[in-house]
Amino acid sequence: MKKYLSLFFIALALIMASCNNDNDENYATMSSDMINRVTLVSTGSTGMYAATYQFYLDFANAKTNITVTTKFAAQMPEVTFMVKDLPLSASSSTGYTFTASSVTPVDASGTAVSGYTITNLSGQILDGVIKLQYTVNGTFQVQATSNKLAYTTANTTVTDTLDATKIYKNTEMKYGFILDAAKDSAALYLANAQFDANMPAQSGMTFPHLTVTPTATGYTITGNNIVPTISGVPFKSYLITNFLANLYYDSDKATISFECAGKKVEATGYLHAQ
Amino acid sequence: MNHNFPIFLSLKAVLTLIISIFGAASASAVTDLYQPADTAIRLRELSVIALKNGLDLTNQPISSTILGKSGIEHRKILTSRDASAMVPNLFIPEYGSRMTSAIFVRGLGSRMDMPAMGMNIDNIPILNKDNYDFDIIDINRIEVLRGPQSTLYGRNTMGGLINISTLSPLQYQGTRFLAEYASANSYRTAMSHYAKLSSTLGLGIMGYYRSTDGFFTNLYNGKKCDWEHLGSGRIKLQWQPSNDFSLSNVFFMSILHQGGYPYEYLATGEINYNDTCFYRRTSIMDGITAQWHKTNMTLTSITSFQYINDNMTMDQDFLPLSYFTLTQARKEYGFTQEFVVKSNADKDYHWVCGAYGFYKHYNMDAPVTFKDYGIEQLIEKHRNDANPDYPIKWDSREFLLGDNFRCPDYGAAVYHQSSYDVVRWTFSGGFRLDFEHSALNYHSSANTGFSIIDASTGGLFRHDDVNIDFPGHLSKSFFQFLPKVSALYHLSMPSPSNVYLSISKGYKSGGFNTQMFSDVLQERIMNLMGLAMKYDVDQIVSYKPEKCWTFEAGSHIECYDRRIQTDISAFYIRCTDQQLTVYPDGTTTGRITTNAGRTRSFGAELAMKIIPFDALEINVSYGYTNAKFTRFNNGKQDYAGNFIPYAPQNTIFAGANYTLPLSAKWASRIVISADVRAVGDMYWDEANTVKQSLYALPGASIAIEGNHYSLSLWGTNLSDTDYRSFYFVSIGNAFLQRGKPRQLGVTLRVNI
Repeated sequence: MKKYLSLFFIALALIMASCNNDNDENYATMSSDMINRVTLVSTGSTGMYAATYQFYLDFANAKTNITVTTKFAAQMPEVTFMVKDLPLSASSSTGYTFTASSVTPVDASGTAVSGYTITNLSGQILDGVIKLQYTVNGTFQVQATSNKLAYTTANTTVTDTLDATKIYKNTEMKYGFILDAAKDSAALYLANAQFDANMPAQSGMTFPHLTVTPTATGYTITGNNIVPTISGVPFKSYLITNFLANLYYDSDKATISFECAGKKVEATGYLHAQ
Repeated sequence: MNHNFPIFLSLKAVLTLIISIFGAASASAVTDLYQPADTAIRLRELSVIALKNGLDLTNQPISSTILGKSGIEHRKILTSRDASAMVPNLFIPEYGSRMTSAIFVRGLGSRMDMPAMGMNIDNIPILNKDNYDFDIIDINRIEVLRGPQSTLYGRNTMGGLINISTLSPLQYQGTRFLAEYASANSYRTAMSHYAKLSSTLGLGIMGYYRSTDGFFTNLYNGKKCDWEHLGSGRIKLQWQPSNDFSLSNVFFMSILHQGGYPYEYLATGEINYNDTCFYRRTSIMDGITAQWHKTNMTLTSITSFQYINDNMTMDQDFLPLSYFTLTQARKEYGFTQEFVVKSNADKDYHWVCGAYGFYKHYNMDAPVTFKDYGIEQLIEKHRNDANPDYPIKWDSREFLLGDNFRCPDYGAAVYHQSSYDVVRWTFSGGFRLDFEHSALNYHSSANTGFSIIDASTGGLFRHDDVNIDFPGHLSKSFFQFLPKVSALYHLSMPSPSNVYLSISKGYKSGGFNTQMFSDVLQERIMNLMGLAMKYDVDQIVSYKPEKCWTFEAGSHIECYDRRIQTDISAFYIRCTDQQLTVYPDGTTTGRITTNAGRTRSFGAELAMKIIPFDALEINVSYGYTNAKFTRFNNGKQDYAGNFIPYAPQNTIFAGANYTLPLSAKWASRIVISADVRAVGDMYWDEANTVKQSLYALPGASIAIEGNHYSLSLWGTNLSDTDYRSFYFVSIGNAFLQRGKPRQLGVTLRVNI
């Protein structure tokens, strides 16, 4: 698990490098394991499904092609298609946006994929964080994010459960969620975990076996009586109770709370620097 | 014309009566003790001080203390520490080994790394403070300049400069012999010979040896721990083929082996540690001074080479427990080159300018060996308290943290100072542009491992290897502009006297604290077990330059035909980024140098030499320093308003020498000396929780002297005052260094 947080930052670096149009190269390609949160338009119910998105960014012509491999409902087969020639714009020195009001996906040979129409597509790659949303056939509203979400900017407040006046604040802790759509589970990797000024900071603490549920605004992650691990070694003395996190798609924000060793930890994190 | 003060006439009469039993001659005989130290100023020397500051320091806007040969020999001054007792506001405590020359002056100083005072020995600017402390025989003159000397002398002279000159074979010829025996089976012996090989070529050769069993016993093994063996030699060659050219070469070599570290554990009052401690050092220095005199200017070239090969090994915890040991084995060499050009013409305007460069490089191996108790307490316990369900057990009860450092350091500077005489005023202004680049190449390593046990079953959960290979490189550059201005007014008095004001900037260069690497490695090991590494290497190992501004007013007064010489000064110092040695939190050891923020220091100094009549000389000096932090918050505690540690608030010296002439063929005089040295109060820590109160150390000697010999009986700390000269904390434990007890000795000098 510990490797995943470092993978976050490796991925960010790769994305930044490949999207950096200060390079001499006029294009970049990237592939990302993501999760689709799919809302059925007719009922409002949500589900989540693993997905792979491959991007071809043509900086010379300001276009991008996106190849998607995913499913949109549990009973549907997995499908692979590509949306081509989406207009690509630089939104800042570290990001790009792309949009399409309506596009017909094609397969690898360029033939239109029967039965699929993509509308209201919009997305961005900003600071290495990818997200996009689109509607499939007017039936499924899809919001796609990486399955590894690193809230690297976070403000944490720790309150002693026995004495509410004892408060400790920390801005060094970072929260990384790894979502597994197949198992409806998640894990949290907590970097620089420190719940008290006198507590030795832990380089990394992992909360395994959390439950993730898609919602209308993002994801809810819960758990109780979780034994965290540090470098793969269980630490029963740090038993986690009443874990609740809400991840919001639109604002790229997360709220997290849990209790550990007589402390109540509450945090607000962001995918981007504030 | 003699001025015999009435108060002393009755004393003189009593003493004359006593001495009449021995057949005293006329009391008006001038002894060589009376020869003022600054008589040497009048001799033409190749001294760097004379070059840059002028022949007569008492005619300069500088606080200075000058010790001449006679006074140096009578007070058995062989080191800068010995001399410091007579210098107001200068404190060089006995601490650890000769490697740790901690110098504190006017609230400025440091226990380690960069010094606050520079030192020159026969024009060689000592590059490494670890080489400051060694015995020097046949010292001709010591000059201690207080206040920033950075404009003319550059780096690490923020608090001042100590200049030591040894006998010149062109000015002194003869054979000298020294034999001394004292308490603790301490003895010294020296022999030197100075001769003119021709009318223009002089050669001096000196050999010296010192040994002591030490004063303090390590209870663990019942042996003395502060023993020492020191041998040294010097060859001085001087050639002056004409009045226009002089060449001098001085070669020093010393070899030292000592136990050192008589550290008393505060909780028990015992010196008791189980691992080996020693310090070995071989030091070689060579300096060449060449001087050309032209009509209007003098050009001087000073070249030096310095080499140190030393090994410091010590029980880092200083307890009878096997925590860990440290070794620092180093080889360092350095070169300096300076060109000084000075105006000669006797005009109202005079100047000096110069260029200086240096290069030094050291290679140091500094392994730390973690031992059984250290592994148990500092690693296993720390980790297992956090996770008793899965405790760890280290693979072996001893392992090595390896460290190697290579540090190249070089710098260059140009400087200029102009002085202009207007009627009774002398106005001076100068500046120095100083550049330095320092780099540190480090390589830390460890190969060990531990097992994680499942406490519920007692079985192995997992085994983890600890393989650390941590190379890195740090470098820093420093550039400083160091100005100085002063105004001096020559008073209308029979003897040269003046008052002055000066403003100057001082600078202590930055660098890297290698002793912190064992802590960094320790934290890396803890990180491998899941505990966060607390330190950023660059942030903890590197420290910035320290700068200060000094505002000083003073006066040099001579009256009554120079029988009363008085130096007075008052100063105010503002220091930014002061380098302080602090201890990291928790159960780590070693020290770090941090930049404390801001400090301020003010005080005053008084030094007087009184010669009421020819046979009696009285020296007194007093220094007061009030040095406090104005801003220092280390993130856990705010020390603003606290006294700066290790800076004594008072330094006091009072001494008198009385010479009784004799008429015997075998003896020409008896010299009776008495003095008292006092230091304190001073705080040992930034929190000002531990203090050494003022303590006084009286001493005395009585010597019988003939034309070619001197035999003296002497004692130091005659009251056997129990005092502590230093304090520090290691692994959360406080230690003190005991001051030396009463010592008695006998010294024989023969000059042929």
